[in-house]
Amino acid sequence: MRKIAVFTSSAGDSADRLVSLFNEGNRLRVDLIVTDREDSGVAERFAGKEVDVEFIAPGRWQEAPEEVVALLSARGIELIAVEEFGEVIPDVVAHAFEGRIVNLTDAEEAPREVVAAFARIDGETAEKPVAPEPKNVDEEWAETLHLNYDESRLRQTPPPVPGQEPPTPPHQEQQQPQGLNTGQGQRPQPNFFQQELRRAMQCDKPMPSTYMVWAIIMTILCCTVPGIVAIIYSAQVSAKYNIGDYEGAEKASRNAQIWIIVSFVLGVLNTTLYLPIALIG
Amino acid sequence: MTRTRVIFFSLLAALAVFYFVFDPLTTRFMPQCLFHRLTGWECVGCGSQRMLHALLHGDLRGAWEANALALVSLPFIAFLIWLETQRTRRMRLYSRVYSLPMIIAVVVILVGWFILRNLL
Repeated sequence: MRKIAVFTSSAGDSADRLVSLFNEGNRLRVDLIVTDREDSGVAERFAGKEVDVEFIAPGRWQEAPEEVVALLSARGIELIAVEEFGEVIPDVVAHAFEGRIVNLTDAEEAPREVVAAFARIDGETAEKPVAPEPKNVDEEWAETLHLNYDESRLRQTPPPVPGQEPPTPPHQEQQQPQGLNTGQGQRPQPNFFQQELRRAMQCDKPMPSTYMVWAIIMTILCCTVPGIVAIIYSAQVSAKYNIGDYEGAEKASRNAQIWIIVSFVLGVLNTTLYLPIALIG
Repeated sequence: MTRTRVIFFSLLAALAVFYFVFDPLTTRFMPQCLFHRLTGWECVGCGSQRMLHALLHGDLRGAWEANALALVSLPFIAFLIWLETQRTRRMRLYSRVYSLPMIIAVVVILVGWFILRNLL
């Protein structure tokens, strides 16, 4: 199980998508959601989903960034995914998680970006002969940061600091470790992402029926136009399934089915309506 | 499962008997293509019935001339129907067959055949 923390100031759409995709499987897990806004509603949103939500007041981020690192390392978080986030990521955090922070663009792209980030992390650690042991990572960080952390203390959320305004967001990107977004060098093939994504999701569900055969048969035998619509929906089934959008695939599958029926009915109508004319003429 | 199989194969057999007995060219009540009637062009499937009739009479050449694509695609269609029954058992094969290249190929072949048979 590889753990992810999501930093968000928004309602947590990307986080929600990651949770619903990953947390049922046993490879990736959104373990923690960190927010800097008490009123963002994420705490309520994830209350029933076995994901902890931690509120860290805006002021604490720059004041005590070690706490953030300690909080993450105590949980064995491997990757920080940053959704729309109003804080500047403190240097201490950025260094502790160098190369392991990923910016999420939106909820659609989030799973792919997370999987790609893990792929990159694995690629980098594979090159280095001395790969850090996952279990020692916590201690290493604690040592380098001169922290005597104990878990019970970390669970307490730091009290909000009154009278302090949240830092302005625009600098956020500059603070990110370099080389994250650029992604130079060999980028894994899209196919690789798809496979990883599916594996990460533990997607043992079979692809919803594409009904492609029936769509083709209907196009040929019954009615061309609805048949082609059905083929388009069939194509969507596999396309959506391959990016991990199982619900979308099911919806496309149902649509394909509907258009196949439409095509069939039109074909039958055509035949039966024409029958009397054919017999008389 | 076995029940749907029985229904499927008996329907198939009934169709085969139907197309063996009736010649689409001389029989009046044969279903005709709406697209062909409206536009005068031949759609991708036009000639399938003649093709089946010829094929069932062992006339391969006549079948080829009636609708070459339909004749050639018969084994593929049989395979795809079989694959549809194997969807949950052979997940990987299923998702590999219904991949983007395959779908593009199908569309290109259908559109290409439509253009080809109407222009040539």
